[in-house]
Amino acid sequence: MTLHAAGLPASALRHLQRALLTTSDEQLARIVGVLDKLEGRGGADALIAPMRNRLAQLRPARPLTFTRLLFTPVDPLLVPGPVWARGRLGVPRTALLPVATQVRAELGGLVDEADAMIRGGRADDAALVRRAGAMLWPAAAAVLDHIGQPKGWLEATGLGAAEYATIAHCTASVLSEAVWIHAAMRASAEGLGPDADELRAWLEAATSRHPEPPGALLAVLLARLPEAVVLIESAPSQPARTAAQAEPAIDFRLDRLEASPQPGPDPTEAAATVQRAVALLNGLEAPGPSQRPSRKPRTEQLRRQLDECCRARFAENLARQVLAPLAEAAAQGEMESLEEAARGLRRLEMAGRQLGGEEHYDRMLRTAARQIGEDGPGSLVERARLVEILVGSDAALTLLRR
Amino acid sequence: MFIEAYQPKTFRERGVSAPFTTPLLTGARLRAAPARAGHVLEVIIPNPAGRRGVYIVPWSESGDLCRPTMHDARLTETLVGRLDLSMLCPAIVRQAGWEVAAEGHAGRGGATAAQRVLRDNAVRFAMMSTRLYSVLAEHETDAAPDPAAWERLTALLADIHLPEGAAARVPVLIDAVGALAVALPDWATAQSGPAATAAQMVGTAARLVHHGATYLLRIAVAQIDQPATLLRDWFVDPVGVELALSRTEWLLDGWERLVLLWQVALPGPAVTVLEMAALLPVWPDEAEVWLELPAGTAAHLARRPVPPSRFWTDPTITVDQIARNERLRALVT
Repeated sequence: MTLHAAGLPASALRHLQRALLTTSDEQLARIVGVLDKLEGRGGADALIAPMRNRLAQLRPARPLTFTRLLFTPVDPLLVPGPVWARGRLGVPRTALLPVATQVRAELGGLVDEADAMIRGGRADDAALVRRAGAMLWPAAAAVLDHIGQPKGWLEATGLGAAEYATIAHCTASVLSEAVWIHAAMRASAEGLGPDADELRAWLEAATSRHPEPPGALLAVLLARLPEAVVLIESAPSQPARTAAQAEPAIDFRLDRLEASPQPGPDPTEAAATVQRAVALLNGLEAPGPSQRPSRKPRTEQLRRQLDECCRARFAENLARQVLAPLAEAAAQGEMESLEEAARGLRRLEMAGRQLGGEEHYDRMLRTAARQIGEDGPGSLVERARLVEILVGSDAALTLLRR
Repeated sequence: MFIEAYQPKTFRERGVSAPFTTPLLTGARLRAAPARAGHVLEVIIPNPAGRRGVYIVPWSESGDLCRPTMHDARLTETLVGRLDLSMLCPAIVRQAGWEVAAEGHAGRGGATAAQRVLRDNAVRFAMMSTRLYSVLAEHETDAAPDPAAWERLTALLADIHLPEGAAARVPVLIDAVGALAVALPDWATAQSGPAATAAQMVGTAARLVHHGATYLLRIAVAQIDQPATLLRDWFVDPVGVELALSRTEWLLDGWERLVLLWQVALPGPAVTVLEMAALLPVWPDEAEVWLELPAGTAAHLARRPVPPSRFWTDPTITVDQIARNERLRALVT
């Protein structure tokens, strides 16, 4: 089964898009799941284009396709086709399919290996992405450095040969460094990430390996390892062209955060998103070479925006993921899933506190703990455990000993 | 009290590894306080900075360093309320841990595992008890065993060597430590940096403990295989026999957690081996006597450098640390 935008009148497409805009999160995730199963995506991408920001927050489980794997390292650079402009950072989404098709054609036997490796896999399986990417990304970067404009490029993107060259080189520069970046992200998540010296050494080596300006690489780095912002802007240790690209890369990253400040519904993922945003803002506001007084109103505004979104997400998740399903989970003997949801909330709260709202979080957690402890369903020990996760062991022991 | 170069003389002084779930108490040990100390139970906490050294504090003051979880509070309440703490040994702490976990204080997974362990132990106990009573009956004796001591002996033997080739807990753990001694250096060959160093270090320590425990187990099994002699000796000197038989258990104490840590390896193997290196049980001087090692061996082992571990000292991830520790409880066999 395929979906062809060409066979769909523009008015019908708009009608469908409007209908999608009013669907619930769950319905949208299901629709995207159906579209992901289509053999040819055709107009599917056009159909869901207006929902991209919402999908980025929802992060529905998506199959790991060749195109998705290829462009995972470039994800922080993706912008809607009409928004992309020559001379500015970013990779238009409309470029993905034609470029991926051409890379597939050029890679030969490696494509079969990659396909076999990712068959049945999911895009959120970080270990699989890292493993398959380690095989694909360097080879794809080498191919992109020398192949010409793909067939159907103009029709798919509305862009010319010069734009193609810019996009291909920008993508290649990120792909060629992607294995290191993803390994560093993983190590960072374990608390064993690169220290300042290692980051500085890598940054110098990486930027010198590519002839084009390193803006794209820097923007990706800011999204993946935002603590690097301090190094990016510490001009004395960086080559002049790196320093010159730092400002556009930071602006690009801030644009993206402003466009989509709401963390997704998965609290653990949301906490990680907020942590990265906070690390970037802290780096930009810390005294030192990366601090720019002119940028302060913008970072302060973004901090407030993120704080509000984080509180709203926390309140919604507490109600939807812990309090609402409490009775049913207790009756079904599924308190473990509730405990995991409560842990996710604590992760989000710990990240959110860095933006402010301490009293807000304390109040909400205390209220929820009281509600669960005093007249909640489940055994006393089960309720005490939930209370412990939400507000700590003192309250749990008080409940237990009452 | 912080002691940087911690070198206990005896295994009892080293304390008993407790299955704590509080992050800061991971790898901590409990021991009876000295007489007239003003408190009954002490906790020996590995340096939270992930470097050499331990804190030794009265359990009642542990709240100054951390907020013990509900599970840990119940565990110590159970121990303090029930026991003559001078008898504190690995078997007693383990039993209390299972009982508390079976009540659900370490989550549903921990409760299920603990209930299964308690059931299995009852079966092993019954097997060993039947055997001991039959030996007792064959060798007519007027002596009536003290019920509590008899129960302790039966449980101890059931952990070490069961009749008819049934799997006892101690040999299974020795095998697991042996597997760890192979797995960690294997893993380290593809790594570099502090994690590789830590993996080699823990692998070497596992190999030493595996050798030592195998040696002590062989001696204990030889005794158990002569049950009439064993019982005769036990009637004369119950404490001495128990102590001799429990040497393997004392040497292995703390290694079950290391085995489980590697099994779970959260949030990843590199950070796990660094944590394991920081939690390696020290060898008290007494181990030299038990294993016929040259004097100074234990102190030499204690001097190994510990690579610093950063991840688990991060206070923002307490819930994850507790969840990981509870998951270890769910894996206990």
